[in-house]
Amino acid sequence: MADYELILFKNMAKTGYDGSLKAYQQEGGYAALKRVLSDFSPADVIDEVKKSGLRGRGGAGFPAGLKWSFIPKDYKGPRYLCCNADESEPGTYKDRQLMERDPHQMLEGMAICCYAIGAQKAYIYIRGEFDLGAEILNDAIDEACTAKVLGKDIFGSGFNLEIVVHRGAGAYICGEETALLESIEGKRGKPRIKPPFPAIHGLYQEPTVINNVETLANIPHIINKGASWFAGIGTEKSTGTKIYSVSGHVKRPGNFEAPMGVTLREIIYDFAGGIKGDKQLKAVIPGGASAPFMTPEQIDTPMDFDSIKAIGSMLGSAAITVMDETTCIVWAAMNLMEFFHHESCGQCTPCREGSAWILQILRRIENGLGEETDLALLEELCGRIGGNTVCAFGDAEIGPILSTIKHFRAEYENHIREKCCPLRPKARLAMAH
Amino acid sequence: MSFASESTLGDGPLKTMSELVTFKVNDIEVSAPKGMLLIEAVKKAGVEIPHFCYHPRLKPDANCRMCLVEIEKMPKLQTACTMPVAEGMVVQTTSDSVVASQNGVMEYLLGNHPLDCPECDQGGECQLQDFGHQHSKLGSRFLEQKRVFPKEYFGPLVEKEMNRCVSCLRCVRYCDEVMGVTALGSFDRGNGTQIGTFAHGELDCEYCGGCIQICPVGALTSRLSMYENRTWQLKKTDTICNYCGDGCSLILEGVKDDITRVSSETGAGRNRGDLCARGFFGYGAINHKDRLSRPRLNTKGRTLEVTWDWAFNKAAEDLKKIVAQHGPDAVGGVISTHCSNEEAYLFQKLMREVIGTPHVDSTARYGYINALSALNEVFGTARLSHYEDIRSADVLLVVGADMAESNPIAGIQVKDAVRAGAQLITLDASSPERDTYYSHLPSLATQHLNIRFGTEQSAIIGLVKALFDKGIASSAPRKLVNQIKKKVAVISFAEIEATTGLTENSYRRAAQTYAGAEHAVMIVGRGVIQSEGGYQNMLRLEELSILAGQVGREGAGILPLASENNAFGVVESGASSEYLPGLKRQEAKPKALTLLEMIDAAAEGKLKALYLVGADPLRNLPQKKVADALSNLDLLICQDLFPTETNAHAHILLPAASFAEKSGHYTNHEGVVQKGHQAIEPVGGAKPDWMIFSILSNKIKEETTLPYFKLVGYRSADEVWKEAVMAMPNDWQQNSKEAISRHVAAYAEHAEIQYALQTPRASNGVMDLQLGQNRYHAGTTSRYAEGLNRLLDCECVVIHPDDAEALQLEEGERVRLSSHLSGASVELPIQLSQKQGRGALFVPEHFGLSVKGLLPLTIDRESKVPYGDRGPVKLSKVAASTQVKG
Amino acid sequence: MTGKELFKKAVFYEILQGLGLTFKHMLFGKTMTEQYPREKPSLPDGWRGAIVQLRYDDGSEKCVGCALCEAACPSHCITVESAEREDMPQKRYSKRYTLDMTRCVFCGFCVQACPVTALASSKEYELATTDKRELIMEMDDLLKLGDKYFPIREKRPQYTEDRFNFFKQNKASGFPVAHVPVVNVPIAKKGAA
Repeated sequence: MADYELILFKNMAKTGYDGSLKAYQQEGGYAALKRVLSDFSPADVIDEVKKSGLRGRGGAGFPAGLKWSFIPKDYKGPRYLCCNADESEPGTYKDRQLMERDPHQMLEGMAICCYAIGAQKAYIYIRGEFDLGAEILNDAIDEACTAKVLGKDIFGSGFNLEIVVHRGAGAYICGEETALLESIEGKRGKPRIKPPFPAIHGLYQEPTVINNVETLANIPHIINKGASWFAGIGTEKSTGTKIYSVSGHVKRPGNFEAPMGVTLREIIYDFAGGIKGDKQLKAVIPGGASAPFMTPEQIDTPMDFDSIKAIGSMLGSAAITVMDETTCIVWAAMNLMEFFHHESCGQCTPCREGSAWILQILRRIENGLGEETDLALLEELCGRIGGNTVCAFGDAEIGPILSTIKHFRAEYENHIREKCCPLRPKARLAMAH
Repeated sequence: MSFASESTLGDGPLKTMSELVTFKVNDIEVSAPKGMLLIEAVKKAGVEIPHFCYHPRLKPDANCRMCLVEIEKMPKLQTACTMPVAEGMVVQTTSDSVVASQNGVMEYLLGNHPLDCPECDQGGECQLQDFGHQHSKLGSRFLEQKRVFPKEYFGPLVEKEMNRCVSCLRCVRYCDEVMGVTALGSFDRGNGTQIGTFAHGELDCEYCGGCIQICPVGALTSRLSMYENRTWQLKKTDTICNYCGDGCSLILEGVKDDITRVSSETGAGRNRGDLCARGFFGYGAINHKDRLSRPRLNTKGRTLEVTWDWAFNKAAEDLKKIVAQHGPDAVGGVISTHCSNEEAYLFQKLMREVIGTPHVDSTARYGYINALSALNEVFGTARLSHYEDIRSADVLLVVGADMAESNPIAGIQVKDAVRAGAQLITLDASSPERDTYYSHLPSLATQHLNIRFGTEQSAIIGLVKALFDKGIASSAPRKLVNQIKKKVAVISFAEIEATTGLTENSYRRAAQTYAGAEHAVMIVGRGVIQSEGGYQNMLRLEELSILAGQVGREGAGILPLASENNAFGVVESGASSEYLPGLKRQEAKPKALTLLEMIDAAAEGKLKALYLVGADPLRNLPQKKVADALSNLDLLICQDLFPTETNAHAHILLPAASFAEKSGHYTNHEGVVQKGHQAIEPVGGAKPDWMIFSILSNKIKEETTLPYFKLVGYRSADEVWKEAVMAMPNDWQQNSKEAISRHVAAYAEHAEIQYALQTPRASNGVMDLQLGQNRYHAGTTSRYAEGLNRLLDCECVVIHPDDAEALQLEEGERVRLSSHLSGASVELPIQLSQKQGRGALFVPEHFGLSVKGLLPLTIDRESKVPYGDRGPVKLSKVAASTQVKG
Repeated sequence: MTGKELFKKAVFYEILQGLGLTFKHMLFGKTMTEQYPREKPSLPDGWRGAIVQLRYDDGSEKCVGCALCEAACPSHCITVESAEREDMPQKRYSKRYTLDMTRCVFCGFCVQACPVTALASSKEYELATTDKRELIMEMDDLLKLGDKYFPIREKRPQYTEDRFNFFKQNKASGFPVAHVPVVNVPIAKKGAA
């Protein structure tokens, strides 16, 4: 197992590190913020982040520095930073660890970002179920404000920052950036129509930057060690390290930090210790529930944004779900669709009606009631959702379905022909109840 | 006066549409204003893009995805409802990918849609049906189980059938964006999304019916006409609403002679397609079974139902007898302000020319005449501002008006303006808290001048005084300025504060905002016009606007709110003791009597015959006095829709046709004249008022010796209108800038300005009672509308919860109101409302007669308007033992 | 003119010829006259006789009062007055259904238009009457005719029943709303113990 340099997990990997302000400052914490406030202009910070090539870790992989630079420079009104900590993608649990184990790393990143974009108020939209995380963050903010590293007049520079922890109420869609803004504003969490983009009309119609926890946690390290150091890690287009959350049929599930571009094989067989019970690998989801499935033949692909995209999947939040040979792919697709159907916000027609329809078809196929025409219908229904919805949720929900039909068509056909699930023969019985 | 309906639609992107851009749709080249939404712009090429969630009255939401079109150089299909047109855009609305996506969306929407079109009230005018025919294949591939919601009612007037819903959220957005009521919302997720109220309660809102009208499918339908007819059977007639002075365009829809539904066309009329509860649900009065159907004679204690011919002959004969015996001056006539302009014109002609009496008046005498004559006195016109001015104004000053209750559609214009960024200043005694979902303008106000009850007069002085520090507009005549300055100099802010309870600062701030505005519109309501000192207070407000320079120019002005639909028109048509047609002053000898003076004259025996058209003085004036006067008359002719207390005394009672049964012109409070068309034949044996006047004139004329008689046989209301318009030629366009400043200068020369503070009244356990309009009712006709009665069907006392708590009263408990003046008392249930001012009570005026008896009556010296809507009453709890259930 | 022709003229040959056919049928042919009303004809299946109303198997009328038959009728002989059912809210039914048989042209358009197949063409053709008013048929008359000609009834779809349960449960409370009415719960003030 290769030994990679840890960046985000560096502090918490040390024994006895408790994530408190004192412990964080002992490891050199808040030095970056202090340096930024005294030596950098906001434009310098944005430049530095741009040069580092840091791409958003939330899923879309949009360059962070570029996003920050979209905020109008000479805008008079307030601007906001929203930290997207609504980590509800099935299989993803990296932000939770970052927030709970080393909150100050992320808070420092937020402070630097706020300085760069000129925001004086930042929100952390944390998933409702993260009780502990919200508590830890609130404590950390209090602690930092008392120590004057956050709050009013930080390090005597005259820069003020108020960070508010806003807890979500359990909707997956609120992880979508505009729905997140609506939710913070106290409205029903449903995505806005874009354009206008949040950088122009965001929270309360003011310019807003929305970044993932992991993205922001990288910022202090970029400032401390320089953009070129950061750009040297990972691949050319995807720099830095990435936290891979591995789950499923593996011996050692968990979060692993490794540079961008390590292969999926290395992650599964080295970091996660291989498939449980040494069975055959059947399929992998490389980037959370919305990423298309990958087959065992593709696991030598480097895990970076562009390589994964090139083979028709996406890196997303790098939540790797591993399935062994005992998994029924139709069942897996149905399971994911159940999640998407449950979480569809109901705003636009294709996603609202489509997810329910597709789910019902998948249930029929899985339970042996499928028809010959169903596969063509599924493909057509998915095709109508993709690209036709208000937000990216529509594209996300069809990914698993289309990719499983593409890679495992035979299995679907088998279900329909045999009129039962070969791997779960009792499924039909369950349907009767 | 006509306003293009298109310009009133969708205020947002259309405001700046000077520049034209050229684009191509389906290879047709079209030009459209820059920034116009594609979905609207393609209509110019005759292309229709199917849509559900888009509506010109609402902001685009792009949730139905039906309007996806292909635009060159764009990677994906784009929603036409959010895409502004740009130069050189190439749009395809019928390409394969667009058609595929439209078919797809349609199939999705129809997947769970129940096949109950035959039962659905929307069937025949349903967008899902229409677009379904165009954009879906035969048969369905949806083999799964349909999602089923249970059936539900949604309050007493709205039916909700969620299975039919396409989740376009138009209803929610209308409730939010137009009405500002936010009673509706969507809850649950995915395809279980439902439209609902907060916490699943009964719909608790203003019942404007907007959600029903705007629903593209049959998810929300009216319970009032539920399943009564199919849309293709309905005959539709454009007319003007008869309830308040807003002048809304209505479409009456019905089968044969039965009105079963009301709608309005989006963007059409003064209301731009918005309606209130009265307009939408208040049509039940037209076909009510209690309508008078045949003429009646009351002679020697017997009531006879007679033919029209008999009644006309009898009326003509009796009138002639009285004219012969006592002279024409012994006859008086009063017409209701619900009658059309033609009828008012013809009535005054019947009175003045055929009979020869100057004693003509209308029910505008109950208050609106104050506003009209005060405006006419100062500006020479009463047409000073329009709804368009309100919507584009940057400051609105609303004085003494609860617009959301009395004039909801004018209220919508104010809400629109506030939403567009206008500053709203309200001045009344209500508290600024908002009550549940009902709109309440002070809650939207940037400044709410919360004065003590009944101190509008002093508050206006405060505003005028505060204005002098800000600087007076250069357009104000010096003489007027000096005179006012002298008058207000002797009044101190301390005195004003003692009376109104408002500090100097709040007056200064309000006056500064008002005077500093680019375009300010002042809206004056019943609290000024129809309360003590109304005429003088109206003059003070006009002077305020002159001093601030907010009148007599484009976009600024004064709008007095009328509570009757044609108060303006009836007076302008000459049915008023001081005005001839066209607001020309009448110099008659003997002096023309006003309504109240006629009652007095009748009591004294000077007036022998009275002709009441829709007027009900017994309801509006002290009963004993009026009853005595009426019984003293030799001849009382009443003409009405319904039996009332007054027309029970009538010697001759003539059944009149309602607004739906006749055509005629109505002038709303802006001064906009609109035509209402006849929808149905008169109910029962009723006749339109103009026809009655015309026939009666002919009957009288046959043997009359009056020399100046002209032919009064009219075949249609249009003929009357042609003549009436000729009688008031020059007053239509008197609102030019020059004419107004000329008038103001003339007024400054002869004005005698009175500025007097009211004396602060000590509240010794007495509460202030105000009678007024409820949002669900107007006048007394609305009591016959079943739909409105489902919302409010009895009198109640509205009180602030704090007051109720202090008195240990609970919602619905009965209380006794008693007057320390007359000793009379009334028992009524109470209703709690946050917006009610503390220490003040409110009773809707539409129901009982007895509350009126508690209040003192004062009469305006100048305009002879009787004020009897306000007064102190004692409120006491009814002992539990004497409480009557129900 | 030949003699033969003259002879034919003289004896009215054409008439004899015609009568010959008559007598041939009278003496040797099969009887074609139907002895109506003693004998009734058997009618073909597609016969379009009087329009009738049908019922479901539980005896309830099928008609939902949609008035599509009224719209389809070329002779305007159908009048439908529909309303909401008192006992089953949100259910449409025809309060009054009138079919003027004197104007009906038996075209069967209404049968085609009916979305719930509540209408059918029966084989009833004996509509003669001494009182024309009897031919203006109301719902009851039409149902009676329907019972006579269509004794086998269709089963009523079940789901329409289930969706009304909510109304049945809530009927006692007067105004039916779907869920529990709002109860005002005072919101605890922040900081209050």
